Amino acid sequence: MGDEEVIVDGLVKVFDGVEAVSGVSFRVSRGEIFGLIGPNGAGKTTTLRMIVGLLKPNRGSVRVFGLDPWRDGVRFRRIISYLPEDAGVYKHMSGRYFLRFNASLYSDDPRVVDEMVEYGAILSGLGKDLDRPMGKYSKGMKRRILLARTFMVKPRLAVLDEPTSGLDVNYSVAVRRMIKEYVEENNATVILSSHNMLEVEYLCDRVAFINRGVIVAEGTPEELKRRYKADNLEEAFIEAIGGVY
Amino acid sequence: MKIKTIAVKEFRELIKERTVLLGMIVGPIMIFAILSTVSLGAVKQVQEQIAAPPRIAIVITSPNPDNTGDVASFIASRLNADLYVGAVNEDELIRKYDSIVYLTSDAIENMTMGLKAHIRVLAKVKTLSFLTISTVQNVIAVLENAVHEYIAENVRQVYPQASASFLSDPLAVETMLYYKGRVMSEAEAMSTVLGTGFAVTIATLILVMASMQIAATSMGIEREAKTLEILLTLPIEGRDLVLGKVLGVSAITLLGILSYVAGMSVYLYSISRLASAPTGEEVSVGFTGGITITPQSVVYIAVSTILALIVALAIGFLAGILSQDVRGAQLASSYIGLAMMLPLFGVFFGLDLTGVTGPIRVLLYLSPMTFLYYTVWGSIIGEPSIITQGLMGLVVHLAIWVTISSRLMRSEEVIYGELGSKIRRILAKRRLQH
Repeated sequence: MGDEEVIVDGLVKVFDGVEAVSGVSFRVSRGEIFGLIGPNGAGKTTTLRMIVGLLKPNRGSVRVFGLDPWRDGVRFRRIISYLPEDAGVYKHMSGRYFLRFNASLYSDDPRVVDEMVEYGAILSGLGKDLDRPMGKYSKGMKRRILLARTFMVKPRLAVLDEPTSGLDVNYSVAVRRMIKEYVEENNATVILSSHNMLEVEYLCDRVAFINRGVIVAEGTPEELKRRYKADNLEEAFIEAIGGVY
Repeated sequence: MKIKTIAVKEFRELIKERTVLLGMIVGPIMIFAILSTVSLGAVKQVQEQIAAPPRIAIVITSPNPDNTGDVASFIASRLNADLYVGAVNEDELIRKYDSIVYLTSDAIENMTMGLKAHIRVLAKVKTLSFLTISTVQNVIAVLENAVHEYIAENVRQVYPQASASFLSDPLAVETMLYYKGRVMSEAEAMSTVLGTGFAVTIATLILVMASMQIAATSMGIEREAKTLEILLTLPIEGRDLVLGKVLGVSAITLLGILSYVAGMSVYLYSISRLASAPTGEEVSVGFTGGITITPQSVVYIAVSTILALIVALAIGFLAGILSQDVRGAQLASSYIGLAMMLPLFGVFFGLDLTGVTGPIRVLLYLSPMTFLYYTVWGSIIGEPSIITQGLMGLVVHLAIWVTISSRLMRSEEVIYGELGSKIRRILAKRRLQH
């Protein structure tokens, strides 16, 4: 288990007396894409927020390359990159400046910053639109610039909450390809949540089904399908949570 | 470096917001343009009045041929005034002269007998300000000098035992002001001036409140635009994030501050041009005596204003952290801002808050504006130790509020802005328990 990059151990999160996450544990290895699948309100976003250090767990711990999100602060945040599901953009800022702004916080070296921005510009595929204010971007363009920002800083762990949310089919495919290529080229780790079972099946090396704050099953897509005698992950998920409710 | 990156981003985003531009830059410039125009106009008028000696009419009501002639002639010659005896048309006279001095035969008799004389002065003023009211005092001073001279030349010889109080202050002057066809008492004029002079305090209030609103809005905008989560996962310390944001907003308010300081300087300078100041340095401000307008005091006031503004921004920023949305943040910062500004009104009312003790002192210390007040007050009374206290207090406030904001910035409450709601819930629960 030496190359396990992410260790999530017994996470519990309580909001106003209600347990949103009840003892979630999993491990993700370097170079792996790990998918968290569950219905709305299952605790996916809360779990991801605890992993990136936005929320403090009531119990349990998170270690990413041995770093603790709350204790190691900046050192921790330097190796991760997070894309929230409903992330927005600064409406007056151009896409290019947005990339530069983010890159500048990851490195003080202007050359490195330039490289990051260049890489981000390629990843976004926005071309000349990069110099327009982001307030004028379509939903898809906003998502593209946010995804480019996430990966241009070359994180060791990218945490993506519904990465293709709001994107059309073409770009969804491109994004999936981008994630896959990035992981392969950089031996990076990705944890993502998604409603899209096709996407999860295509992207993820391993998957965890989460329901009502608890992980009900975990394994590779093939293992899960076999375990629940299902043709696809969707059916396997329904079986795992005990049917449609 | 990181602070600079955040500050530049903050500046660029906020400066493009129309409301920010209007509220922070155009607003203060407009206020001070108006204030300065009014001040300069007043100075110009005073200068005109100084350039041309006041035209004074002395009216002797109910003349007594036995005693009035000599005294009235003496005073009229000293004041270079025209003498009128008997009933006059006051409206006509005040149009022709700057001031009318009414002398009754009783008053003149009192003067000659070494008794206090009651005199009424009606002074025409073109504007109502401390400047013009002080100019009226000049006329009275000239009148008093003339009476003093008369006493020295005549009364002392006749009444060597005349009381010291009479000799030093022989006149009881009732001053009335003639302003735009209306006669008003000095007290009434003062209260009007007070209202006008409030502009400086109000201008400060607007500047501080507007800055706090922007700082508070800055967090609300991040939350509403859904950019906050990414911002919080960037590799930057909470303190740098807070300082960067505060500095970004500060940069926007810099133009406002510059116009504020420039306007304030013009305003104070115009007051310093007041003719009544015997040395040309000490000038009357409010009810409380003189403010020494030196380059140093302008620097102290400017530095403390900037510091107070940055503290206000940090507090406004905190209000933004505690609130769930832009509207909540603006509301919270309005209440906090108003409460914070209260000590500053002490400056205008001439209240010496430095001597306040006990719980009220503790309450006063909670507001950074108390220390801005200290610096301004220290400049007014020329007390360096109070100025130092003011500057130190502002620095301590800055450290405290930035630390609190930084801590909260790295707490999970900032995601939902629910700390404010939590505090309200706890307070409500306590009230129920009681």
